[in-house]
Amino acid sequence: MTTSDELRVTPLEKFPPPEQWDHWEELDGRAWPDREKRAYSLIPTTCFNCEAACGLVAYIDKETREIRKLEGNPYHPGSRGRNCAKGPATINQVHDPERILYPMKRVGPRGSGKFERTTWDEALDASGARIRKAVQDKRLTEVMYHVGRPGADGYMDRVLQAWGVDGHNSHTNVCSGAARLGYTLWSGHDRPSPDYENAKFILLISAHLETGHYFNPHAQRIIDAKTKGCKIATCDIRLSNTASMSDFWLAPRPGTEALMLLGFAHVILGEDLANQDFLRNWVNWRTWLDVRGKDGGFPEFMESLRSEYAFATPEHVAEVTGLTEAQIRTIGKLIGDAGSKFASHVWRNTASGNKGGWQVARCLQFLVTLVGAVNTEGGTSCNGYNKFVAKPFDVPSPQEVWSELLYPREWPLSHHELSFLLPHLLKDGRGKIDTYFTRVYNPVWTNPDGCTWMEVLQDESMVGCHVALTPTWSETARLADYVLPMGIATERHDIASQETHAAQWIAFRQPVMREMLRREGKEVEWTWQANPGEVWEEDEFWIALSWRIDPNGELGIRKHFESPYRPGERVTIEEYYKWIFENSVPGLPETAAAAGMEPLEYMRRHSAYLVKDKIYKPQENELSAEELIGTERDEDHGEIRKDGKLVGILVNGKSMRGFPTPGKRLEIHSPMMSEWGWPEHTEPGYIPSHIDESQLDRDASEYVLVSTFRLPTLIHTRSANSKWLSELSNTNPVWIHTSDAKRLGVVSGDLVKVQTRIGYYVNKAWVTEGIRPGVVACSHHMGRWRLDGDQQGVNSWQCHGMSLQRDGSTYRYRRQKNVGSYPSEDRESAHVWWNEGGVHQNFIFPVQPDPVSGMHCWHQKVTVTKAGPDDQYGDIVVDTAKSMEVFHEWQAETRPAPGPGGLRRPLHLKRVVRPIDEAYKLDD
Amino acid sequence: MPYGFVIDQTRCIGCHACTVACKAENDVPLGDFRTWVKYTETGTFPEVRRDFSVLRCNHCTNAPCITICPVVALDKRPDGIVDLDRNVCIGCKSCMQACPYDALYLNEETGGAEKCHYCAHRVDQGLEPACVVVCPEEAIISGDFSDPTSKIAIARNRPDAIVRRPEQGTGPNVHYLGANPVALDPGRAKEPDSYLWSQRRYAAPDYPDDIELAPDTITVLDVNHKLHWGTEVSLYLLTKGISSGAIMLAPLVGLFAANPANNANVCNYLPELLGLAFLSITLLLLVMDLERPEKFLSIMLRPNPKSWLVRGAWVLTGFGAVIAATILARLSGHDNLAETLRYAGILTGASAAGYTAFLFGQCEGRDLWQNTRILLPHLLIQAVMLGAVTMLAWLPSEASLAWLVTIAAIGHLLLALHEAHSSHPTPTARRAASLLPRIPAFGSAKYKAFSLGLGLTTITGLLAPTLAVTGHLNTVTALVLLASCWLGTFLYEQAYLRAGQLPPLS
Repeated sequence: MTTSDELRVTPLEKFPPPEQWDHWEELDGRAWPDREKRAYSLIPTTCFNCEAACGLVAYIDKETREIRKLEGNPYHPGSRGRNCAKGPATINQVHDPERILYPMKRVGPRGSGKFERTTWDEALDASGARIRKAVQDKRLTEVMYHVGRPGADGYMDRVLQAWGVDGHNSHTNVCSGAARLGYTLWSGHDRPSPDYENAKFILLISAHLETGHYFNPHAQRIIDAKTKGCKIATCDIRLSNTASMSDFWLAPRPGTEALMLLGFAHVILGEDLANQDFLRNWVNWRTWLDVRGKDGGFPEFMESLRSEYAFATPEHVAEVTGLTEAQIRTIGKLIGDAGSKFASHVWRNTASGNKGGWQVARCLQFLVTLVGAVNTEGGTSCNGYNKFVAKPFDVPSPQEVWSELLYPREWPLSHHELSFLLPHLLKDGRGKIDTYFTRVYNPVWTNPDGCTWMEVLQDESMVGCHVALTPTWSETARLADYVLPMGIATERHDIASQETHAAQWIAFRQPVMREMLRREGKEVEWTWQANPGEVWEEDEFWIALSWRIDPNGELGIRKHFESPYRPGERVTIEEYYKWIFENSVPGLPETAAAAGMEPLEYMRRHSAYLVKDKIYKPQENELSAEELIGTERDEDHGEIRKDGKLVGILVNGKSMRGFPTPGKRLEIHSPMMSEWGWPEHTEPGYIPSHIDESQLDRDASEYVLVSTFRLPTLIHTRSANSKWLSELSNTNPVWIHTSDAKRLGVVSGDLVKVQTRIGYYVNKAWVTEGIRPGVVACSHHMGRWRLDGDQQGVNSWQCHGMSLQRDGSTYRYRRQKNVGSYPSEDRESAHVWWNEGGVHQNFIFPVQPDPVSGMHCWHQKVTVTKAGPDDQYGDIVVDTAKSMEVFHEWQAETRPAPGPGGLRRPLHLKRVVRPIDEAYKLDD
Repeated sequence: MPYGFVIDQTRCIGCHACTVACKAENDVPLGDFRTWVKYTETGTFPEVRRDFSVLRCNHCTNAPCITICPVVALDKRPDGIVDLDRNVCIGCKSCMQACPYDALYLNEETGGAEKCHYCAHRVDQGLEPACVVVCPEEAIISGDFSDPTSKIAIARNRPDAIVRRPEQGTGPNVHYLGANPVALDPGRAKEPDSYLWSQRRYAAPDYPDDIELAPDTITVLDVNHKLHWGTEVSLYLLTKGISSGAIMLAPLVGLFAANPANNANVCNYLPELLGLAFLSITLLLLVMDLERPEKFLSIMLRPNPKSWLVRGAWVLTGFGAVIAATILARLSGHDNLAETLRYAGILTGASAAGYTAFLFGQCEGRDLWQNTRILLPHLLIQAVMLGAVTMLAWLPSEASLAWLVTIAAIGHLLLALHEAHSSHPTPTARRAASLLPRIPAFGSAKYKAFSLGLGLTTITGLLAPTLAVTGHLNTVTALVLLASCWLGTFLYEQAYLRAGQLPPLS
């Protein structure tokens, strides 16, 4: 019946031929079997759901002028034309019936939930005037830009430094901060970049087959390796999809993971599987021996190393971790056997869960170093080598001030800003904020202790003006003065580069409707003119805002936002990227020319560019003859110095660049740690966690709550605007092991009460074998809410209505309205079949900043009980007075700056939007 | 050149990209899926694993959905794709009963069935299905099995390749590599009331505790399928039983004319009038159960002669024609012809009562209903019971009718108990049978449709001769018997239909 003359029997293709992307005719699946052809313009861009920055291709219907769907971009070196569920779900976000289309301004007191439409002019003028005043008054730490998901590299650094403010805040310390410290201590690079696809053995302390940086690109390569025979071990307390796909699932007692890793090291050292050549050449073993007063050379180091870790026998490790001796020996041996082809990653997971979690990353990198798998094919590279950040046309000089709200002195080694402590620091009078931008950031929901965030964001004496830049309503946007709609993946420009494999690439995100108009010869001045409603893109917002701050250039700000092509004129966003592609990306102009295009045109057509492939052992790059002029060689220490400054190291007689550490070698011993007050942590070790077994009163029904795990289908609070993702994932029950459930007297579906020191929530139980007994877990995305009386709010696909009763510092939330069908332009909103939506758990977590890394230690000690007769599903009770108490207890465990030289932070450590060196001095 | 899929579960990471890409490509409604991922967990801590199964239409070589589709809306293209023409579909939902894999759903908005069509619109342009293109792991392989050098043909020949439910004999063209057989075998895992990160759309089957399940195995994520045959179909079985039973008993009623206590007109016309009235209601119910009732004529205009829905329509047409002829003969004074036609009515009545056994037999997805050897006599006995008890209201003095009710009600009871308690040949049928006594009546957990229904028909059967013998059988008591028997039959059918449809097929 539907057989066609056109029926093709040749092998099928994945993508329409690129030469037809400008005009591609395709049968409409919605009309089938009617053979309705529709004409599309195919325009590539970059996904903006998770951080991976995978490629997308938008199919724009030429007749309706609507985006019909999004597929993968075959040109993208990281994602290679493929996507996870969140890629195609972008179309839901485009057509989200509740999206914010116009700038909004609050009506009534902040946080009362009422807004009215305003104009962009007003929003720009109002915030521009405030910032201008702050800059004129030299209140340069009172303007803050707080970003959740950057989705871009470096754009804002330039803007903030042009303004001269120290105001970049991020989300790192609720995410990867701990692991960053652990990695930095080794190599000066703060993340790993495993070469999964060539690995022989992979150890994941992460869930990279379902989430994590960078889910889709990494999952592709991990599974490719598996198919080629690579063995995989995954360490996770609960059974993740990743663990299920692995050859080994390791579920140790939470908080003991670092010891587990040292157990593997013990096996490697004991079985003589360490790569001694690599250690001799690349590790600062001389320092190790020096501090011990030894001088027996490398053999003595190996001896000493064995003896330092002699305690981590498989027997001892098995006893503490709850794993078996056989597991420790097997995995240790597999790592050793894999040698330079050992790929590993810790991402969130235990590093983010535990006090001392940074040592997990350090111990993991210890293994990588022991077997000589650093920067090798199939090994684990330092991320810095596999990421390419292109320089813009103008780089302002660094700011001269230091904000204690961003980098408070208690945490001189933090990676990075103590973002989640912002309200606590404000409440303690450590500063104030005049103008606060939140961008794709929802701290009220995402961060621990959201009620304290609400208190502070509602207080105009602490936060003068709050501007929320966001595509969707959120629990935080409702506490803004201005809510300014910003574009999603298909509505904005950005460049992103991620360390997905042993290569460097850049991906270009572009507003696809604007690009289609341009191809049709209908150029617009601003992206919002091509976007739905009046949805702007941030890049242009910052340019426009900077011109309002300094309209005539007297503050020296405007000049940074003038065109490199048309002196004195406002730079356009196209010029900004055109300059980068023409001047900052090696090889791109040549590649573009070979394709007969200008570099910008090339990127508009391909949206991605492979800068460099197969990057291995970059630390072995030799210094050039020019660089060697005037240097001195210290053969004893294998060092090359120029004017006393270390510029390279000698390895096998060659002058190599080494690593960006103070000694240019990998630091098994970190002098910095003792210099900055942590002499007990100079080397990879194991710090018993705040939720260590010894801290739990099992008889009082105390458990460890693992609250950070993510689902393959959602991304934090940014995917509630997808109906297809919401229907796949709409609850977050509390995972409880069968034996624990029996003890508690609950079965799946029964209500349980989970209590921390500051409050409790009531949620349903999910009784499972897929979790370690004694541990409970709850996934991270669900429980989105609006409050009674809110005119608008979080997307209804996931949102329930809550009432709030506040009594002093005690907040009581109760569910009043379930998720359900609702009227909208999307006819499907009448068919919402689920009604739960989960429970917001982060509210009940006190902040627990690690005394060294500053990372919020997510694991919570909780009391789990069967819910009582007065408890209802979704009840949440929090006392913010108690949460301040807990904050102060953790704060008291820090060892604050100044460090050597009276500094706030070691100069060699990375700092986001780095100020001038003078600003590092702690004067008072 | 058959197209098919090989799904490599050694590579699939359960990410649902295929699910969402399919929704985007084909505008699949909320709650419905053309492809989805089921998660099954097996084992006890720490020896526990989660298996993913990507489930969808198998594009069967012998597709039961095509056989049962009355209007040839479903068809197999020369390239092996089982495609569905939404313009033709009348929304009878029989394909959803015939498919042993739960691959079809009803688009509530259009009233048509839908399913994976291998992105035929893309294939016709030389493009792979959307799920194949999006898959991060290239775990879904599409292509032509007949080309031995193709990736898909090589993959299918791997020793770990299996298909879902091969015993169904459908010849599935979706092959799974490295799949956990238990995850692909529906119903062997425990079905929880809610999943690990989503709610269920429809409640889990309420199996008894002793149901045969694989040890330590639980479905932790899945999509649920609506039960499509319910009240209308139960009523259809009831009214068709009354109608055909009355006609089958018409020759007997003719003999009652000799009894002066009886009104001759009743004896001459009652079976035919009952037959015609209830046949009309039956046809009305059949049309009402269509999601696109305006298209009901398609069954006659573009019939699929293999479909028992079509054959049933023909049977009911013939059945109706014989009734009409009988009435006409009687009215025109050709009593002998009318009596002869009444004997012919035994055959057409039996056909009308019994064809449903063959229709249910075509519902390859419903193992409980496959027992044609029992179902056929059961339907005939039910028809006799319903015909007799109905006519008793007009002929209360005929004890023989009352005794017929007794015999038929006991037969119904025995066959029903046989369905519930005999050993069925397949696990799915056994699971369905275990549910038979557990289906609630009137939505209340307190009353069970099966026992209440059988109780009512059995009591009717026992009371009828008792009342007759004791002289208490009159129009009023006969009407009470009628009501009890109808209600009992309806409840039984409700239990039988629901139980048959409840065990998951995917």
